[in-house]
Amino acid sequence: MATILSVKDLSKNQILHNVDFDLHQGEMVAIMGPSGAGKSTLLYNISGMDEPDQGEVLLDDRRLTGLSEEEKARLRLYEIGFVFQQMNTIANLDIWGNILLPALGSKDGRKNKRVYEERAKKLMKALGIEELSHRKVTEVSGGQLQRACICRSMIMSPKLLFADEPTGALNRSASDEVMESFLKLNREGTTILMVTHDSLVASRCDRVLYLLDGAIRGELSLGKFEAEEGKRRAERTRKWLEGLGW
Amino acid sequence: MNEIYVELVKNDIRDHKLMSVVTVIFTAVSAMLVGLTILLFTSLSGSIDQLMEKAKTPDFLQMHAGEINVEQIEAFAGNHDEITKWQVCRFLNLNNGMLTLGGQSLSGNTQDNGLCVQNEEFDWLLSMDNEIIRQIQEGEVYVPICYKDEYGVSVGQILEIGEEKLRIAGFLRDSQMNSMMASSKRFLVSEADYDRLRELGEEEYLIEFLLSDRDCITQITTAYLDAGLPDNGPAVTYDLIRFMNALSDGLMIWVLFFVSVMILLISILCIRFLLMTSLSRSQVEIGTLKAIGIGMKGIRRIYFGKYLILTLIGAVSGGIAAALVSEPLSAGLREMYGVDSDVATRYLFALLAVAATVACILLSIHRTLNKLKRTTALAAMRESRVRQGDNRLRYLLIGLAVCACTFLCPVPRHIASTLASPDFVTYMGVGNSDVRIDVARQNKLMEGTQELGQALEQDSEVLEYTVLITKRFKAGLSDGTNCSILAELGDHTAFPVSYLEGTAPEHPDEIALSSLLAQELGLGLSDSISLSGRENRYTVCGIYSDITNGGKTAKLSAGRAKLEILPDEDVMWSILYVSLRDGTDIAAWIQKNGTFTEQMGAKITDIRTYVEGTYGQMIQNLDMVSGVVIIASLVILFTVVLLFFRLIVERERMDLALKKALGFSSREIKKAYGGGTLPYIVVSILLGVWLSVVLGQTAAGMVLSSLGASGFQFVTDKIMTFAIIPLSVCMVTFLAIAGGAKEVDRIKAFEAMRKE
Repeated sequence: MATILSVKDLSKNQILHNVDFDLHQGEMVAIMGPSGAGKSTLLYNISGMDEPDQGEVLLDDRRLTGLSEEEKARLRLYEIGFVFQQMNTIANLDIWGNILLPALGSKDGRKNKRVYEERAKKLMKALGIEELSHRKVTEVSGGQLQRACICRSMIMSPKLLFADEPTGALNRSASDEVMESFLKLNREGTTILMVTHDSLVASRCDRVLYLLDGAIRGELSLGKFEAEEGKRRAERTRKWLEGLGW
Repeated sequence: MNEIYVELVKNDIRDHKLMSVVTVIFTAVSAMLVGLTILLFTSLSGSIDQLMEKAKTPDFLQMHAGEINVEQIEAFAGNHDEITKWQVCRFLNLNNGMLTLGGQSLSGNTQDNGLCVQNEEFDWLLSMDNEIIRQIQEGEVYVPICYKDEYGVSVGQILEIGEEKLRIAGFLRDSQMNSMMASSKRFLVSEADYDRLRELGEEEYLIEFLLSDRDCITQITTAYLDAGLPDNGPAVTYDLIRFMNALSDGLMIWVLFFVSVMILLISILCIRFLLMTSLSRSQVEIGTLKAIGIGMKGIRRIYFGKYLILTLIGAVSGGIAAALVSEPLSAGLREMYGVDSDVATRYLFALLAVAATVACILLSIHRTLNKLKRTTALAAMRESRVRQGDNRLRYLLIGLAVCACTFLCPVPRHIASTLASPDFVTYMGVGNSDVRIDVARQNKLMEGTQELGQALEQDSEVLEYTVLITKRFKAGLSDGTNCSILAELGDHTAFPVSYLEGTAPEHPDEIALSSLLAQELGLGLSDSISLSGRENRYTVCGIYSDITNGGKTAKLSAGRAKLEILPDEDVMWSILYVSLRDGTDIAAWIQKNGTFTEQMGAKITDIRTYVEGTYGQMIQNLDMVSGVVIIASLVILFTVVLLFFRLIVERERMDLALKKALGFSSREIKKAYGGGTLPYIVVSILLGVWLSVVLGQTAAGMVLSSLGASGFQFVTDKIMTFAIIPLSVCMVTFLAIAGGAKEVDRIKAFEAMRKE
């Protein structure tokens, strides 16, 4: 499989120490680790939201480190999607407006309005929230809102999707709904890298990286998720984590 | 995606109603004041120009009392190609005591009132439609427009001149003497009536010239003097007439301009703060937008779009308000100068000014939006919301608003009270005394002056008096040419005018010059000048402001004995300044001595009445402006305090909820706020009052220096500055605090239990 993201010798503020790993096209990878391990810092630094002290990040063989703010913004708009733990929606807009928001920043989005509206509808239908278009963000459940945020992150059809604790603020059933959405997108070809505390969520990913004290201390390859082997994968992941002192 | 963009802006405005309304109010008040200033400015300058053009105001005129030789003037005009037209106008100077207008005596009037007939070539007296008044029936008179309101007269009423009666057929606009600053007023009558009434007054002449090029006025003035033509009175130029016309209403516009700029600055400061508060509140949203890839341009467009809409709403409302408010304020202008027909140009300029105001506000917003760069996409990733700024800045802004309002409100009143003060005349070239006696040119001018002096000497109620004799001299210029100047001889230390530089002349070889004359001659302190008929050169010892007698005057020191031997033909007129002992009733003294002074051919004036007559209109205009300024400032103050207090309460929401949870009532919390803010407000008010007295001098100085009166001591309106304004500011502030503190009622105790 081709490498889409390559992290080499990345260090930051005594939090991350010489982190190295690759992310392949079509993969869904989870980063796990205890609080303070540096998971979120790693995510900020590989997504271009923060600048590492040392090392480099390559997206499709292009250096992300050293790009200007505007260049990074363009990259986040067209090539990277984001899902936040706190959803971070714009309260002034309804669900429909929030989903279409990234297109506001692109010329293409303004020019081909219809195309993006159609894409939004498809995404909403695929994630089961097509009825919520004109609801306010305060009028839907946490799971529904997070799914709307996933639609927002996918509206520009990015190659790579980052998710920071996407189920962290959700209950179990909402969490399952959101994970279903991620799996669906991944099956359709989107590469996903997520940070999570939840071993059940991690067990649905192709690969799990374990971060401790700013360095990757373990890696578990699980292969593509199939619903019928869910329990077995969860058990395997739990045991693996226990072995690492989780 | 435009509708999302519009939706975002629309919803943001709806969700932050107060902030949005406040932004609109700030813009509206600023736009209103700026628009109003420009509307009035263009009305005034347009109207004056139109009136002077229609009336064909002379470019240069020489007043003269006494015999004239018309052939000589004709020859002079023939020898100078620059003179396109000339004429000699008659002016029948009447004693104010014999005039009764609409049943009211003009005896207390300080103007030189007289009759004239319509001119033939130019300097026309115009009707209220700005048309030349051509048909004047026998027995009818047209009255100067400035007397319409002053004496409350109307068409059909009677002007009595002694036993003679003339019916008021209408009012006239006199492009030359419209302003109360001009010392004469012309009543228009028919040729027949003029000839019939000629015996009742003293005939004077206005020798008037129209020039092909206004730049050669100085040249013609000098040539006129050199030709030995009649020059027994002041000479006046087109520019000075225009200046006099513009002065009274121009001052009002100046004050308005000054206040507009101040209010605009306050508005920009407050809108900037509002935007910063809004940006600080929206950290996470901005971070999110950045995180999802919307660049600085896109985010800036969202915020800028919102403020663009708000400022445009404000500008439109402000513009409409300016148009409405300008109506009553320009009513006086319309009556004095007629309606300027070019309404479109006037509104175009006002529109441009309002647009410039909006541009200033938007520029400040644009610059503030650069702060967006500081918000990183990381902000969106952080869980807790960024805490909003410190409340100290909000208290500081409330204090600033209170202070600025206290400072700003009394400024127009300060200027008005400075004008109303008898001391002010000393900055305009007139000595401050109780009474002034003017002895005009006549056969026995010096004899009359001496007799008046002797009578004053013996009067036990007279504390002090001085005699000043005005004589015309030719001053030699450095380029070898001459210039005609009017010099006052006498003791200038007795009732001194105020000097911008230097002191009054005390020695026989010293001379003081008016600033206009010093400017024209290119002379400063310690320079020397030669005068015709005098061997010695004179050293310039002082420079003073003067707008009387054409503004180009000089003062020479001379003992009384020396003055008494001056021959009549050398003297143009004399003035006696008199101060009376404390407790003397000035009006009664004037009445007692009125007959005697009249017999001497002199006019007696109470200086206070003179001030009222000359600056009354200006003071009235300033009072109107004062009202607009006070209302605008208090509206801004109320808005600022209400908004920032809301923000303060919002910032302390959790603490207040906790207090409520602990058993404090809303009333107690609000009381504590009021009590806590009181000392702060009091200090701000005291600071504002102090600034008003100290900086007000500078502010009023800037405005009044436009009158040519620099370096004056301004007079504070004590009741306004120390009582009315501070109390109003205090009241409005506490009303706004009460409004802002209402938010406390909405805070529920359980909010304290929530996780922040």
